[in-house]
Amino acid sequence: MDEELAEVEGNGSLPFFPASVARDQEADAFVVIVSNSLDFTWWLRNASPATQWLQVEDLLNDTEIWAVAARKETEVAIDVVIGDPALEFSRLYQLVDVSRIRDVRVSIPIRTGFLKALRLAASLQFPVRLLPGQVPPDLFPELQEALEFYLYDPQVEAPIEFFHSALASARGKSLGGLWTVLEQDPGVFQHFDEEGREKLPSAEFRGEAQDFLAWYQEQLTSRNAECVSCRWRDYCGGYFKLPDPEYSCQGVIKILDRLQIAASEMEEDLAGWETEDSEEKGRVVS
Amino acid sequence: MSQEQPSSSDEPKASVEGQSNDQKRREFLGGLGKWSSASVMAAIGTGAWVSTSGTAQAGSWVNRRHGGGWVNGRGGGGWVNGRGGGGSWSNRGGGGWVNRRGGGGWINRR
Repeated sequence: MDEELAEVEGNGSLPFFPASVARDQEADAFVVIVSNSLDFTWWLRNASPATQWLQVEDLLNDTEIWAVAARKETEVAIDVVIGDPALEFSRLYQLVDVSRIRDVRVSIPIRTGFLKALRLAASLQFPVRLLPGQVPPDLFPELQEALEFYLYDPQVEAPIEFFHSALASARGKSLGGLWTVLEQDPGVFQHFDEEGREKLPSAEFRGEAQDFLAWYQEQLTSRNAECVSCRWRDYCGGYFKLPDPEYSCQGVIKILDRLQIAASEMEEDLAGWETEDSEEKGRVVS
Repeated sequence: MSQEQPSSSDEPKASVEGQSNDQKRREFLGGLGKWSSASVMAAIGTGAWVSTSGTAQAGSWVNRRHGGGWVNGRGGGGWVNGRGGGGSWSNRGGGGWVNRRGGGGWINRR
């Protein structure tokens, strides 16, 4: 085993525990998933330095809890996962006071109406994590619009994943692959259920969590999935083939290709400027 | 003719110059008024944004922690990108997904 890999395994990955089992944990670092106001309140008051952040699920409709979160008892960061973005997006305003004292990220599932939540979250300067899953075909126009918003709208200052890391990848700068950015690589982010059992993305897999992606990608290769010849496979890693391996990536590839085009446009903008800049310097020297 | 190797004392200077160039590139792209600040940050690969709580943030949520964070903070490529010998997951296992089959990999057999 090479030294670097040994270091990784020696340090373990970042575990995500439901609140029901998180209080007993002694890990150096972990994330707590809270989905009711009692657990949320307890962890806001009692989060230790080991608590990296609280993943808060389906609590946007609880108005009282956000007043509690806006008080500074601890500074633990929160990742607010929206249940129904079309119905709940206006509740994001509640997070403004909270975000003055603690870091806040908004995670938005790609469901009908998600763009409203995305626009509002970005305008409030929250970093956003889109949770794509296997995007339904009828949502690609909305996803395309979301991408144009990310690329060009002056309101967008904080990252919107997965666009952000995909654009960096298209520019040859890795911010992590899709499995990592979405915190779904079980070799890095271990998710546990209410009984404390590790959850893996596929029930068919029987090995160690850190071997999951290699196993999964071998499955895709042996099936001759479209990933085999996909130009985005290094970044995507077959993410969009779960749970249905027959899912067509046509729409996703169009989105990623649009990011590649944007990366090329940026390169052209920079090339024009750098040429002008060097000519200017040449005139100064002569 | 032997090429002069830069001394280790030159490295910080080169690093500062690199940062300065990136800063100029970021300012240029931002100044066009065409791209969002976030997309410029992704494209140039450096820089940070300031969260509403006032803390400077690296590009990714999981990299928030001091000293680099979960993904890319472990020096020279980081935790995730350091696995399996300096490449990304696709290069694990002595060649990775792309090149690990049959000595040359399916992509090189076509």
